[in-house]
Amino acid sequence: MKLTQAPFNKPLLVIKISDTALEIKLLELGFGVNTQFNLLRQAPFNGPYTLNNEKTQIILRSEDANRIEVSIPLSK
Amino acid sequence: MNVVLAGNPNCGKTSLFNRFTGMNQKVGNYPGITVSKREGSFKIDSEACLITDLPGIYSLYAGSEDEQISVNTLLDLQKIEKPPIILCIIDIQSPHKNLLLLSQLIELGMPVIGVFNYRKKTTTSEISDWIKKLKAKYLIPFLALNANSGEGVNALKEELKNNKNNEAVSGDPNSKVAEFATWIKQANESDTESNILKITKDLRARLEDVDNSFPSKTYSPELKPDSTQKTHSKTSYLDKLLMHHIWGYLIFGISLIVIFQAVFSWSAYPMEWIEEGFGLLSAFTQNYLPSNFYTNAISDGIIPGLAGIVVFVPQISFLFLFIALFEESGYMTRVVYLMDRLVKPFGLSGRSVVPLISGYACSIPAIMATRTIKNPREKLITMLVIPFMTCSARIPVYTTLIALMMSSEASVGVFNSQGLVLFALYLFGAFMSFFTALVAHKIMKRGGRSVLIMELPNYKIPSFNNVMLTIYEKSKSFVFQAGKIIILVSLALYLMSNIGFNDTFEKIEDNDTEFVNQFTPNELAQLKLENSVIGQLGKFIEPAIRPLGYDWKIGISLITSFAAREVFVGTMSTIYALEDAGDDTTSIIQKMQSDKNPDGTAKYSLAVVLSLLAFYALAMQCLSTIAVMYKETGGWKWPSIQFIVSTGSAYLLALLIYQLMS
Repeated sequence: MKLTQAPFNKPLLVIKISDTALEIKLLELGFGVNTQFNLLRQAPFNGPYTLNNEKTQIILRSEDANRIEVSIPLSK
Repeated sequence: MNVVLAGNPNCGKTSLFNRFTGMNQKVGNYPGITVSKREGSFKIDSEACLITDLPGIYSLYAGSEDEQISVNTLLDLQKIEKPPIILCIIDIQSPHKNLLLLSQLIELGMPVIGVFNYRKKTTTSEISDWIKKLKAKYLIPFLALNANSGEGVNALKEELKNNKNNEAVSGDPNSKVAEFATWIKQANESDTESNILKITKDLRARLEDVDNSFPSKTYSPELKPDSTQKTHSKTSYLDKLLMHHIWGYLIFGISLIVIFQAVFSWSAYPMEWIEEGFGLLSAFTQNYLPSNFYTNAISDGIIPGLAGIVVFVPQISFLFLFIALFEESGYMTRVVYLMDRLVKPFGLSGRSVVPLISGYACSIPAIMATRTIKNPREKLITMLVIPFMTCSARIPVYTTLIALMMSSEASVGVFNSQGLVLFALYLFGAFMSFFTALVAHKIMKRGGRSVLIMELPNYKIPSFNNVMLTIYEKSKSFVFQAGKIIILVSLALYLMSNIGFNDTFEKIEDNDTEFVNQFTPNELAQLKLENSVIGQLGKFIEPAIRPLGYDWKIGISLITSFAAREVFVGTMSTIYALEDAGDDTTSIIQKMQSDKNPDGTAKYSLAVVLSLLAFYALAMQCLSTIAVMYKETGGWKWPSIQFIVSTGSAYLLALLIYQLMS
């Protein structure tokens, strides 16, 4: 599913990033494909999203979130 | 010796830069663009060292324009024979991201010293453990310091001294280095499919390498439940409040009101002291220097010109106090989160909001505050539209003109009519700002899609040092850079109103008793102004402003208003031969109200007043703003465009209003 459809505060896994500039930026910040993270919150009126993993917390615009494919990882 | 600071955003680079340079720093622009360039100097023993702080980057693959600047600077430096020493900052809070950049810098063959920035709570064993591992892995000198407290900075200076002539640190310019440099250049120039693939592969490999060499355990929050964990939970607790759908906006709204109060009201006191101080100085020169033209030029031209510059310092200081607190504490990125969506359709960024609101107090600090906007395009649009916000200098003009239009008792329901008109003018200013931003957003060239991804740093207590240095640097750069232009033009305006070439002017100047005795001193001042160069200029432009309903008297005021808008009231007082009544505008309003056209109708009809209000709302009549725009954009292009567009639209709107209403 797309990140914009993903549930909040559940572990998520990055599957695919369909924009190269975005992919590079996310990789640099530690949110590349196969990393696990949390979707924390979204600002009103379809504003930016906040996500975090164990090291970093970032914000990104919803149109960029739309370009990120995620899945819910299988629990152990 | 030359030193360059490189590292991720928020890694402590600026704190370290401030530690090194103290007050010996200047912030300018990279040529032709609005990306900030911070340079400074410090001494090791007696040798002077130059230090440059590059905009923060995460890797050598640049995304935004400021990142591109960093990468290009590094690539240029790499080519010179004796490159400067690169200090690459590794922040203990996110070492992995920082190490990614470090590994690239080393591969670029630059003489790199790793600087490990730790915090107050980091233990000595943790630090030495990190340093040992880092040295073993990267084979370059590593040092630990605390950029906030300054601990370890002297050791770094020693290390710099040792490395001054140390060839071993700088990589040999072998083929591998050259190959990597060529690749970085290529990767930043064209984003072909194969390049992108190679970039992601490179980044992955480096991150994996870092992860393997420094397994998560050594830094994971679980290991130090009492330090990192605490900051994390403090941050997430604060975020719940400050990023909340309702509380977040409410708190931001309140902080805006506080900022506005500070810039608007609190700074009024020091501004008054400054004005009084310069007033005394002016009177002093008047009394103690021989009475002649030069003394007058000093006491009535240069000193008020200087006062006109220094008087902005309190506003600049207050605004930057808050902006530095926002930036330093980590709150500014939360503001971006809250506001980005609301202002994005206008080509503005979440960071534009604080500068825009500050524009209600004064455009000068507001334009300077746009430096915090990272994206150059969003920064430029914000700077261009700020002067439309209703700054405090417009208030005396507005209140005078509104009073000409309606009595102070008039009301609509419970609201005072004058207040309503003033409020409407405030709204009009904001509307014009956003409307112009929208137009600029539609017509200005876009530098690719702007990806807004921002790290949200943990909250921290702002460093007193950094906040004070920001305030000092901003005030200094305004006084010394914009100030030069302001004082030149105020002197020119002074000369123009005190030089005249016709008979009447000369008679007044020569103190021709027969002529002078026919008039009161106030009438003489009026005659002198009317016959001075500026008065003649007012008459000269009369044909151009006649269609707006203005006569030469208003023409003179329009010209003198270019020094600052509020000069309008003072000039009108002189023109109507009034004694300087200070803040009391009642008499000037009465005089203006009773002024009649030759046909007996009131000169300041509703049409004229509305036309003037529109003109003052839009026209770029602030010399200091033009000077600041010149300084901040590094050229005359944007100030000229801004001047032409705003003054042009002011003329057109004033024309439209007058022609439709009369």
